[in-house]
Amino acid sequence: MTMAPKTIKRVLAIDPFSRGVGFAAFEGPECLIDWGLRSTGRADNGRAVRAIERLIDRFQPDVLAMENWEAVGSRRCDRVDLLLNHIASGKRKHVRVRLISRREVSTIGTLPHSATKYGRARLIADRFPELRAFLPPVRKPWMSEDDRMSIFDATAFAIACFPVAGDSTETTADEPYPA
Amino acid sequence: MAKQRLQHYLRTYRRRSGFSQEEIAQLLGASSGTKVSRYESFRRCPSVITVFAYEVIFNQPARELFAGFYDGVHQEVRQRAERLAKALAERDTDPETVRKLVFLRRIVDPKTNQLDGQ
Repeated sequence: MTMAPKTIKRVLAIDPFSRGVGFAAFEGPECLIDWGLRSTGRADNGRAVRAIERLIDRFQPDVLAMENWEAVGSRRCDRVDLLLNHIASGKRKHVRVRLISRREVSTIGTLPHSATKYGRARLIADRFPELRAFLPPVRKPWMSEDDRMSIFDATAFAIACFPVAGDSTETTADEPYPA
Repeated sequence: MAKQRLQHYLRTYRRRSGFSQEEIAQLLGASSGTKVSRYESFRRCPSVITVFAYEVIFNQPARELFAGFYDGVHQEVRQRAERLAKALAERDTDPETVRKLVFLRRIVDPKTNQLDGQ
């Protein structure tokens, strides 16, 4: 697989979790260039901000995608709300912030619809086989969410930034709406 | 900000292939994965031998693996070729210089190269 053409749109998507940040970087909807978790050791916004800034420096994205913490359906804790707010309001040259609601993830972009988070993660793993190794086991009611699910959430946010082929009503990555 | 490709995609290709940094180090003939980690985090520039080793490992041309490096070098060489062509054109127009100018034109404008090849 070859990389994106010379003029590209790079999307970095982040999804904070209790002890770190999950991320996924794309150059086009089918070109996943990196993914992973950045651990902060504990629930610490300062460390999380530094980790995210390092990711931005590394990938130099056009679009920074993250969850819209104010949208209906978002159930993030106050700490993560603050963190996302801080990142979204940061002044960065040439980086547009795109906020994506949980609802949008299942309705826009090139990702097929799935009712559950795990179902969506499985669809993503089918589309990007390199992510299969990161797919956590099915969550039981007494289990807390696996940290690795953040990678799939971030991937879904990034995919949602790219338009569906032939659908002119979608917002394109060229014109992502700012925060 | 992006507009340009990353300097290289070594980490992307390694992770797609499923190899660890230690395994790639073994293939490169390095003693540990530290060197590979430094290459991947843009803290160290690989040697020509390492570049070709990567090309063999991932079965991708070096210009794709080191896309950003290639784009930068390509642009710089084109600018230098343009300057040299200008200087040569001002000097004289003997057949040897004309040959050089044709060659330089191919560097400055790759489309000329494609048209000539057809």
